[in-house]
Amino acid sequence: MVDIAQVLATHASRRSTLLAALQEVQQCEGFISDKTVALAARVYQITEGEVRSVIEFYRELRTAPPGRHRLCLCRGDSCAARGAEKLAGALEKYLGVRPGQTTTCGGVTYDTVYCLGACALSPSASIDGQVHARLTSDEIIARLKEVEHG
Amino acid sequence: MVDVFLSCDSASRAAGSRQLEAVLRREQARRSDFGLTLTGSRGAFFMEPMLEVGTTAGRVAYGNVAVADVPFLLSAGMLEGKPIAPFYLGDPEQIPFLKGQTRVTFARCGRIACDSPLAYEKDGGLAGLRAALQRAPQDVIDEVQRSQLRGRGGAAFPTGVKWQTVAACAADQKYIVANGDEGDPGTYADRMLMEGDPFAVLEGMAIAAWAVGASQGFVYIRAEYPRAAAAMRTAAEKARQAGWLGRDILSSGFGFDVEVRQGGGTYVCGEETALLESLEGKRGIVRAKPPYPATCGLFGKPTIVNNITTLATIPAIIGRGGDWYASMGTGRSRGAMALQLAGALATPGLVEVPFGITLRQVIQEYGGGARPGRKLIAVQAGGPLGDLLGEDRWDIPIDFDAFAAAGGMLGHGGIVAYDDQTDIAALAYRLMEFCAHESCGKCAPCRMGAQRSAEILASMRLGNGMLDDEQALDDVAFAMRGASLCALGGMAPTPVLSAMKLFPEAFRPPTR
Repeated sequence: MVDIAQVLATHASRRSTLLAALQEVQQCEGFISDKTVALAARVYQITEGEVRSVIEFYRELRTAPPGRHRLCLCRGDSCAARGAEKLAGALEKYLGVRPGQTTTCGGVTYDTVYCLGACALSPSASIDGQVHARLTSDEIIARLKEVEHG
Repeated sequence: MVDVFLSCDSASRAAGSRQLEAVLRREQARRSDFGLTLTGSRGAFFMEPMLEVGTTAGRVAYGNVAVADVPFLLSAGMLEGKPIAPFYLGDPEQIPFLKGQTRVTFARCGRIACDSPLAYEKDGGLAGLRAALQRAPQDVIDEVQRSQLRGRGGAAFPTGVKWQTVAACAADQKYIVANGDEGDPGTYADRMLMEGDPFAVLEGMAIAAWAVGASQGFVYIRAEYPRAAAAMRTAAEKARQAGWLGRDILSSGFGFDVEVRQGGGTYVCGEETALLESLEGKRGIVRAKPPYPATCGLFGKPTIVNNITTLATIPAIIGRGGDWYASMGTGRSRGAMALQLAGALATPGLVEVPFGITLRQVIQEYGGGARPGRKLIAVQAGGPLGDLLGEDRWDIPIDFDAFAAAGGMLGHGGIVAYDDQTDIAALAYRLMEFCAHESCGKCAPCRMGAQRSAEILASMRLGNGMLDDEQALDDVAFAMRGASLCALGGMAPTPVLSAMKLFPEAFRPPTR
């Protein structure tokens, strides 16, 4: 178990490290809890509102626990030109949730991003940070099943 | 022992080099007659996953290799460089896609081990930094001025002028910030450099630091690039151990260190002032300019904010001279430009060529034109804020000013092609939705205008358009262009309006 107070304290000598500290906490706990917000406010000697305003600005920071796996479908221009819309339709049907949501059993958090930087191999998506490219609907669902079922 | 080279670039890994690495490691343990060197990518992604073998006669490449092909390739004499069909490509540098290119910034990418400071130095790395430390800081700035290098992040501002401004400021602390927040969808040059030649980025930063008297640097990398961030962190640590980053660089007495930070998934943080706010740990909201970061940047101190590709070009310029770099190119766009081909092209990839060749040459000769049976209808250059260019404008030369004169922008060098299967109305909607999604909210015209424009485009797409829709979009665009602090709000209407002009029929409601 990681000591969140410790993580925050190692950063807090500089106000500029707030984002980096919150990122580190999220890496440990998966999301940023109310407890973390209160702790960060105290350690950095700023208001909880200020901490929350930073959290809300950065899409990568979450205030609720994510699913066990994270799927990010690229919505960039190149992927759109190569049929990412079809993948989006197939994924919504397969997962039963819309972007930004987590499947009911807590298995997969489905997000969209603007570009994973694999544009010469569009369309692409990432699962748990690993990029998959030249995808078809069947392919991405097969990859998802692989991680879901170990 | 023969060396096998394999790209560990995240796009290459997505193409299959991840699995290839695993199978090669297994084979290696079994036969132990070859070594495995992980490199960046050469950028010929349509041939990836690609393997290269360092034979006595030079490098030999094998393209589009699947995991199942590896045992066959090994038994058929891949390690001796045998011409095995259909994989054999011969000398990778003679592959037509790569042969015509002029690799300066990307000279090392795909050729050498990407995580070894030794390999870096053996391949000419550090020559620029060593030369710089022997010269007066002003000399170094003059060299950059002579190269006529312009920023590759999008704005194409003369790098030497920026450095001169920072150098001229008297301050107790100055900063070098490497902008690795490559957020333009359809671009990947910075990512390839950070993963494939991270030491060049650090060397460029150290040279900049020496030139302007900075002691601390930051690399800011977008959240979507975790491998690039890891590669930069590792490289910084190794450079520190090798003695060319930290308190006493190459025993010169000059100190400069670098910290790697990651963004939080917001496009606007690629804008330099929003990036600085984010580095300060705050919401990444755009600042009004002036003052410019060169005089009042990070923590209010004079700061160089340069793009990753710009900084990675610096070592070559200092090592080989500004005049040499400026001898390539055209007009006021000197040197070579890294173009990132994407979208509906037959052979997309990274192409570094001197300025001056035409857009048509790039998409036909390197991009291979449309895929079989398709036809290209438009090209978007310069990211999601860049103009949509119909075929009548493909003869523009790759040149910042020529693009600007034609109403577009070359920007960071992203080129996304669309073919005849593209739903143009959906594309226009998506581009505007992107702006609405990514607006930092500071300027009302951008925050609300993008939202409203996206709504109008959505209703047009569904055939519920109104007679004055086009006028309304024009009006909103006028406000966004005139009253947004940064390029996001100011330029987002450009591709949308050009799509409507190029393909008016796509926006007409279906006849009932």
